[in-house]
Amino acid sequence: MIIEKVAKNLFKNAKYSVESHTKPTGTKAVLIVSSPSTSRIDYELAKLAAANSLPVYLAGNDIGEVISKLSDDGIRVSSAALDNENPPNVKPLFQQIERDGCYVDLVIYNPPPVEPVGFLEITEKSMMDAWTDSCLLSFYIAQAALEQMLPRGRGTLILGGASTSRRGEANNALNSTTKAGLRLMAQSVAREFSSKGIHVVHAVLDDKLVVENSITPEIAVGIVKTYWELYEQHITTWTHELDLVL
Amino acid sequence: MNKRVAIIVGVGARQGIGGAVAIKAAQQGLHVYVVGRTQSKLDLIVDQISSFGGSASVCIADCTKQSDINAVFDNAMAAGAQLELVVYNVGRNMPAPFLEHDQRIIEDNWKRCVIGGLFVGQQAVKHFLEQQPLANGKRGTIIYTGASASMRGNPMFSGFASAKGALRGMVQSMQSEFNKDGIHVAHIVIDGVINGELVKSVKGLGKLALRMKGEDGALLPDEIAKAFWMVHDQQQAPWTHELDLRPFKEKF
Repeated sequence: MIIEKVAKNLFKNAKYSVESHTKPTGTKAVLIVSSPSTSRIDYELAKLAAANSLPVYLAGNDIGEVISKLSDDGIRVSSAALDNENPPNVKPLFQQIERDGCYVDLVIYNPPPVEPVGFLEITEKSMMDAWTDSCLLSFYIAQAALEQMLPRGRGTLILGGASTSRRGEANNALNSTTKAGLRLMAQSVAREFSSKGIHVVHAVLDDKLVVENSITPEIAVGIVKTYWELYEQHITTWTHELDLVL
Repeated sequence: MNKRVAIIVGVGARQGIGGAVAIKAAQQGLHVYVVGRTQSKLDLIVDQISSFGGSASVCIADCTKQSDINAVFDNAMAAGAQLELVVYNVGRNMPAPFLEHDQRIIEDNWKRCVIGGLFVGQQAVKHFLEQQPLANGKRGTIIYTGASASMRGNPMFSGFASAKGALRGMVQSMQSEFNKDGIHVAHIVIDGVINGELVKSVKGLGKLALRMKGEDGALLPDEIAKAFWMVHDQQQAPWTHELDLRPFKEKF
């Protein structure tokens, strides 16, 4: 029974490589899944994408402030609220992008960190909730993004981590656990899809930036500059992981 | 004096990590609670332990249920135990393309590796903190079984690698939090095919995997168990937080 499952799954994998030979058209777009902890990064990124004449989609449930700042700058972006499912269903968002005649070429998500608590205070619910935001939603965003990227044989996915993604710390098991989960998922996706033209990046932000929410406008500009250079990296010279430390 | 106790969570066949570690702990004089899902398999382990004069009890539990895990510890501690060693050895890696990872696959991996590991770790820490230190100054050892996937996300293993990497992060966080209390939390990374019951149960493919690895190309459960015991037997300072185990010819 296990052999059948393995064989079936290997066959399915082959199917995806075959499908990727067709190359449909459309307009490249940038999708930012925004959260309050990184709103300054998301704002700078939207500005930079717009300056590069790419349509920008901003998704999230707390994006009003970013949208109005962008609108003050004369920048129009398409925005979408995520539904209240847990995790949110991201499919309608990607369908909307397709209906607009666009496809995602760059997708960015920095999952929000949770408040540090002692190991013994963690409950099944708090662990599952932290995981849903950080890991499970990232699985869904990546899967939906790949559906648009694979047929075109190109696309960049940038997922945000923190120092704690690589090294667990005291009184921070919720973040250490769920962020390491995201990191290994990103590695697996990179190894599965790099050869199909999909660039997956895990950007490790300094814990001080993520936890204490100390991203100044200057820091945000710097981070976004790096993100954009990663997006523009040549296919022969891709970064999968880098850190951005203070 | 209370009896010295080990709780081994994730025991199946005798020729598997859980089974081998249970036997090893019993040989070293601990009363072993063998925790798993299949009564008939656990009975075999307990029978073998009895056959050499050791003592062990069977606990049927679903490690993803908090009430099951609490019951295992309550049951063990009610009998007046000095808890020494807790092992968490749960997880199953099944390859699947990333785009075929539905919520069930992602969540099953997460619950087996992380949620179960959380429940067991919390119970172990609580009981260790409540009891007097052991003779060597340690309060006790918690060992988690890791895999190559804990360190590296390979294609076709996104769900398993994500959960295993997360478990490693949790273990590191526990180490940094409970080192000072004398609780030894360790992560043992198995990097290779295990020449045990599981690979043999996957008839043609398992045999093929073993043959491709060649002579002495796969890890033996009883040898793995020796490493688990070595870590548990370490005194405080210096002790090991993480070590890997792989056959001499395994590429890494």
